[in-house]
Amino acid sequence: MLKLIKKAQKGNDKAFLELFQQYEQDLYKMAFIYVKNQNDALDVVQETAYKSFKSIKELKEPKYFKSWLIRIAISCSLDILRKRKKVVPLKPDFDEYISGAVDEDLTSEITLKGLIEELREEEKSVILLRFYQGMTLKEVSETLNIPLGTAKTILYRGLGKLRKDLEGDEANEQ
Amino acid sequence: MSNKIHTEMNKIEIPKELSDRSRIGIGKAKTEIGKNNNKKWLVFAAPGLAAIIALGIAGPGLLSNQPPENPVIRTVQTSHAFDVTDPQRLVGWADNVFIGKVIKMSGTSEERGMLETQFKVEVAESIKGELQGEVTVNQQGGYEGKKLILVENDQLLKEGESYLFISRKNEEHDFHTVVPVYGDILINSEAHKEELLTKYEMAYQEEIPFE
Repeated sequence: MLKLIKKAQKGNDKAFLELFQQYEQDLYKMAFIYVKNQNDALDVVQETAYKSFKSIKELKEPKYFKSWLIRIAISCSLDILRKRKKVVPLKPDFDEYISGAVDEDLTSEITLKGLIEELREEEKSVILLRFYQGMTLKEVSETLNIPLGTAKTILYRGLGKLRKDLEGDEANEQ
Repeated sequence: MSNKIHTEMNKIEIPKELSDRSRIGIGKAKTEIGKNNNKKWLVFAAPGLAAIIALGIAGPGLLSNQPPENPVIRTVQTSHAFDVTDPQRLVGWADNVFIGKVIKMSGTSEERGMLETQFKVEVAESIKGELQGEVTVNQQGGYEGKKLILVENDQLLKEGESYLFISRKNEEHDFHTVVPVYGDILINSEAHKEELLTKYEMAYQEEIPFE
């Protein structure tokens, strides 16, 4: 892995492709959650491949390669959303959903539909990094370049929404 | 929680063209990186050829004044940061444009991993720049044992022949590297020489500087 990164940093595109293809499916799925359709998600992956290979020399710590790629992919996804002019405001109103201690287990019945439709972009980022990529909250905050407290707030708010969504569904079923 | 998210995420179907799209993105970046590198250095660099790098490192010892009779020719493709077929741009990029006669092959050098063959050239006439007397001209490519490396099939300069040279000066080593094909034009008659002089003097007057 480190060897491939070094090669890629010297301009070896085959080495970079080999590396990139280890993550392309993950990147695609994450992109899909944001952009909600196949064509745009494919565009995100292509743009991420382009941007990341162009700037691979700037990657100082090869161990962060994956989170660096993910950051680029998230940024590309948000760019596409901005172009669609459907992006939600970047400054979220945290207070509304701060609950302090959300029991994560209560939301174990999470659905793909809920992920895609109920969450704001920043909530998708935090939840995907935390639970899909298995990052700690500290790593999530570093990857997204936001304070740890903010990452926690966004996480709980997102989980709260998913739980509400679930409760709503259950209520409808009864 | 993680398991559930993974299960849900796995429901997202992966399109067949995903890998192709990764390739396209990387390919596009590679093309642009190549262009930028060329701008930083000589615009006609032929990057990424391990064989050439090996050649360059091997150095002058490999050069023979009696090249093999049937060399295995390897052609190297180049990329350019501008249209080298446009004389105004080419002259604008160059430090020197001149007519000169090749006296002899004098050695080899390696510039950024690229083998170059050196020639002593007697300057006959300067169109751009103020070269005079005997100068060293570097041409990309050359012999490695039984192999002859040619850049875009740009034939090696021949002793005794006159050429119109379009070159950029290597300040560090005081030699003049010519552009493959378009920067070493063999002069085959006096009329041809006059034609080239007129053409490139005009191009110099209307040169488009390289930025």
